[in-house]
Amino acid sequence: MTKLFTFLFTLIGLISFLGTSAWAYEAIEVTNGGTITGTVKFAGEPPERPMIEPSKDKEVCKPHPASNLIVSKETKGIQYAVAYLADIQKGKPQEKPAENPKFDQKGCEYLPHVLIFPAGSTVDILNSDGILHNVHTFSQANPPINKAQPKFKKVLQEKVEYPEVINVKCDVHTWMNAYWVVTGHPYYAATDENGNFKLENVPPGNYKLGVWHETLGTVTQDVVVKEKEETKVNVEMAPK
Amino acid sequence: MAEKDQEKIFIEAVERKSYGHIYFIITLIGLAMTLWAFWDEVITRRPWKKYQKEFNRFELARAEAELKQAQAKLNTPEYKELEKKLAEAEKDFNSRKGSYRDALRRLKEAKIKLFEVSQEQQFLKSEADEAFYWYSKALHENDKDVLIRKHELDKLEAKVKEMQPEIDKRQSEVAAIEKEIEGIKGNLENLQAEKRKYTTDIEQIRRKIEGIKARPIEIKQIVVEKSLLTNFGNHVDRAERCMTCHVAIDRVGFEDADIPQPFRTHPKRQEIFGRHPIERFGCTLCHAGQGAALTVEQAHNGEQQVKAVHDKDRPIKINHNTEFWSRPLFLGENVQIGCRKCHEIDRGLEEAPRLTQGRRNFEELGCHGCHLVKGYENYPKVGPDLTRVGDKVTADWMFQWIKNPRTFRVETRMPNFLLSDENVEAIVAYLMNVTRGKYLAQAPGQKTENEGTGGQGNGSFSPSLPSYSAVPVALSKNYQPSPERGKELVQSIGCLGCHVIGEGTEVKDEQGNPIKIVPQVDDNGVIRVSVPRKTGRKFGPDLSGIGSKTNFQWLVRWLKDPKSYDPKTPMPNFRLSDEQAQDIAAYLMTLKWDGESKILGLEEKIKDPALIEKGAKLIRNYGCFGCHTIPGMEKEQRIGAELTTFGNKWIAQMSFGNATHIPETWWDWTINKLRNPRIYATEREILRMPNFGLLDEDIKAIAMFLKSLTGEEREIPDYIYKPDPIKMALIQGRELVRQYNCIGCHIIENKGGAIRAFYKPQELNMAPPLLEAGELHEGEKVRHDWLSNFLKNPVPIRPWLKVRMPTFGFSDEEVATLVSYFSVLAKKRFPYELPKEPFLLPNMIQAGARLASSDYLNCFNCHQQGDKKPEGPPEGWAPDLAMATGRLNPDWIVKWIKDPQKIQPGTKMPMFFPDENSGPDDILEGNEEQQILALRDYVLSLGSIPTGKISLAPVKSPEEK
Repeated sequence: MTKLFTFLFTLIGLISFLGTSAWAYEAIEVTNGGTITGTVKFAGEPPERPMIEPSKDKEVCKPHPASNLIVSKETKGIQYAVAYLADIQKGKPQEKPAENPKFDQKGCEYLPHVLIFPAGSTVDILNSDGILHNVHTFSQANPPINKAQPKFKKVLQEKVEYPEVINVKCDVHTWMNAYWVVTGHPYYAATDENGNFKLENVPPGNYKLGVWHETLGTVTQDVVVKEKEETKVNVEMAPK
Repeated sequence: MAEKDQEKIFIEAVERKSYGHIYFIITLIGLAMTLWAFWDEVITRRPWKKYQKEFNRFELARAEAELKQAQAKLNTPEYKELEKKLAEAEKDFNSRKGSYRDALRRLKEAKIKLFEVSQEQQFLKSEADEAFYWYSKALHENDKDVLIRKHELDKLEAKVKEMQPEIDKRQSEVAAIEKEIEGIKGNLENLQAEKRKYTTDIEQIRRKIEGIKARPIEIKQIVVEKSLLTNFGNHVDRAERCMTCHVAIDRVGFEDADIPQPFRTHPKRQEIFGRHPIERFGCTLCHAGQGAALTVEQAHNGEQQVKAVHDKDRPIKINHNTEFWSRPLFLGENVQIGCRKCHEIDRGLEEAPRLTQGRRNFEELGCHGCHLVKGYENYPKVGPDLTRVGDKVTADWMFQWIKNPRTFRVETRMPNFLLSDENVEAIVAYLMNVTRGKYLAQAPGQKTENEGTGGQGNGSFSPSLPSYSAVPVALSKNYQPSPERGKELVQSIGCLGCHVIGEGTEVKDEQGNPIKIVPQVDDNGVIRVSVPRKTGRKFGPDLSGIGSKTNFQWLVRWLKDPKSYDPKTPMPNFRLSDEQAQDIAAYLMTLKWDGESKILGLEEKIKDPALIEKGAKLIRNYGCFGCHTIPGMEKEQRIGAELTTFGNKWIAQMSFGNATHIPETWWDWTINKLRNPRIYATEREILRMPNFGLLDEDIKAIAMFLKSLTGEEREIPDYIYKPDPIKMALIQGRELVRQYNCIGCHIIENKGGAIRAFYKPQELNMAPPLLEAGELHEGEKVRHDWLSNFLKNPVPIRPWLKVRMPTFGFSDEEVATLVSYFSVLAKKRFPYELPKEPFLLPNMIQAGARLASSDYLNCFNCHQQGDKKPEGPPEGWAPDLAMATGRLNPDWIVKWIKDPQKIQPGTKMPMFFPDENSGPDDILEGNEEQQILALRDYVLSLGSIPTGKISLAPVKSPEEK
């Protein structure tokens, strides 16, 4: 019995230690940092982007291709994947952006589809459509919100305190879907339309590079960063 | 001479003989007896003295330790420091005593002056009030004096105002002197109080010690008034002396487990003694035992014997003085037994979980069908009505079922009667003979022979339901039922709230975890399982294998109108169309049982009149009618022994038959009987009780309930729990909710909602609504008149939902009970409270209409508007706002608009007014509070409150339209 307890306590201790250490990011001055550049590619035939046909407010909401999986026909690069250093303990300070990150609702589509910003930022949620939207977040660490943004409400400001990935949806236009990646350190980057990303000024060392994508899940791989050198990585993601 | 001599010798002998040693011995004996009497009186017959002395020693030691601790505090530097500061402060104060006295005197004077002026002003104010009255009177009456009155009023008001500076001045004077006094005293008072804390502690402990030392060693007793019924029929008082040894039972501070018994505080003192003060209730009303006894054995014996039997490490100890004490003490979990006699009315008593479990087992297994128990005389039979069963099942299936019910349905409550094949055949023969052709074999519209006398005639039919013969039996020829559509319906309209269907043993519980039932088979071939509570998805029978049990036609008719088959079934009417019923029936018929087999020649055999006659005898013998309504058996009486006072039964009254290995105690007899009901049978004594295949947990619980059946209720009428109306509404409401399994679909009191496991998180708004969860209270949300109508006659609120509220056919009384229940849960004033109707102002309605329009909040983007459906897919739709008028409480609408997430986390209704700048500025001056009220008023203006009586016409579902 005692043994069991000792084991459990150790386990709890270990978990809480790991848990806290994961958040305990230490900002230091990085002078000799390297760069990670990479491409996230789709394993297999690039799928077609299905069209979303809005079923209401059709004078504003126009048909548009779905963004939940965008693969370039030419390069097989995946757009809107997020590359990040999963286990980094210390590195360059995470700076607040000069102006609030913008998150727009245009043509009943969220722009950008994936928004990366540091924890503690206030997001300016714009309503370019001028119709009723509602911003419904499905978050765990932050309190979930469901706020209406009627046409007269041009900007809705929302402060997000804790790092996590938040799914944002609109209940009025059920197809609208986006992700906020709220970061605890600055080494996060979204891929461009060819699947390229770049993480700059990384202190030399061995890291676990994670790549997250909303429909393809998460993959991780080891990466070695050398002083003032560029490390190239290729990540492949396959449908789950 | 010789005579004289002889006399002399005799006298001499008598006189000379010494009896001293005899006297001495007798005296010694007498002394010894006296001493022995003293010793016996003082020591052996007062064992309790030992306990009290021990307790006093224990408490004294503790108090002395406390005293030492308190005294040690006086030597700390903090205390020294305090004393020093105090001495300084006192010195300082003494030096300024003169000015202190002076200030006190001035304060008194200033206060008097203040009082005088404020009094004067008060009088002037009263005069002004009077003048105001005359003025307004003149105004209303168009009096010519109105100007004079006005002048008088103004004059008085001016005077009142004039006095204000004077009063303010006096007030500030008083405040200034008070401050001065504060300054003189410094922090003297604080320091004194702090010092007192140290000294009073010590003083208190000293007093406590003196108290303990002076405490007499004596019998402590309480009189429990009118708690014993004498043989002459009057209630007399009873003395209890338990606390003579259990000294600290009602004292705080002796809770720790290392405090030896009998000195520990009652472990549930907080919860129990509040409502059951020990001075009134004593101990034995709950714990039983011999309250007046003063020795350990006599007070406790009984229970300890039982414990000894079950606890192999302890020797059996039977005290012959108390062996036959009829109410042995309850210990541990068994204390719950004592709750029932007063709390009979609260069937779901949560404070006594095991007793309640036992009671539920007793009720759900239908024990009352064979055994009369007071209070259960008219409790409904637990099994289905068999009046028409011949048209429902095949003879082959019935044979297999009666032979061993759990081979077909592992968790069934139907027991195994351990019958021979021949006997089962005979019972099947009788049942089939009397029930075939009563349900399906007649043309539409044709009356059946039992229609007048059977279930329908006895008034239990709800007039709102289509009558028995109105249900078509001839199925439409041009409709091809589809099992796929049927399956879709079964999975979407709500069947899964009460039934496990086609999931095999992979059943999910309320948290969505699979529970695999692993039956154990004992030596007699009895399948034992833990009997599931009749609630949630296990409320209705598991329908896996139903296709082998019944037939398509029966299913269609049953689904269309369950009460046409069994007037007392809890299965509600889903208002299915003919096509839907056929689709579902087609699907259910595909669910086959792998154990199905044909019994050779059974159909021929059961036509034999001799066999039918034998079957009737067997049914009478085994009492099948205790649980089922069986034609021809309506007048039969319960076949088992009455159990109303079974808990009091003496061991001498219990027959152990040949089972000599079983210890002769009540508990052993009962537990073994429940485990193996025929264990006490002998060649002469044939026992008929069937085997329910129970596991030990359930057996123990049932035994506890049986032990509580003592008939003591009538001994203690003053102690019976009488719930207040609010508690009563809760008890009755919970009972109904249980009876109809509302929590299969809805979450009520944060429990239930098993069906929600079948919805994806984003689709939960398509699931049956929550009724009582967190901040959401149905009784607060909807009007009670609406709720009454809805329960009687459900109307779709969200017609696009697939799941539907079925028609239960509630009686008016049941509706009233449920409505009261929800009102009480919402903490509304009991019993009914009509919402305060807001006075709708046209400008508010207009403002609300503007707010709701597409230029602003665009409410009709999601909310249905009359016949106009919102755009987009139904997941995003919300109810017609016009319904709100008759349905929602106006206050709740405001609460809901303010913060929908708070009331129902995850709802799709967004918050429109998160802060003070969230409303449009050009409506009602941008005042959000007013805007919310305007929205409410607008919504309320859309519909109307239905008046008149509840309509009893059946409601048509959208599909039917």
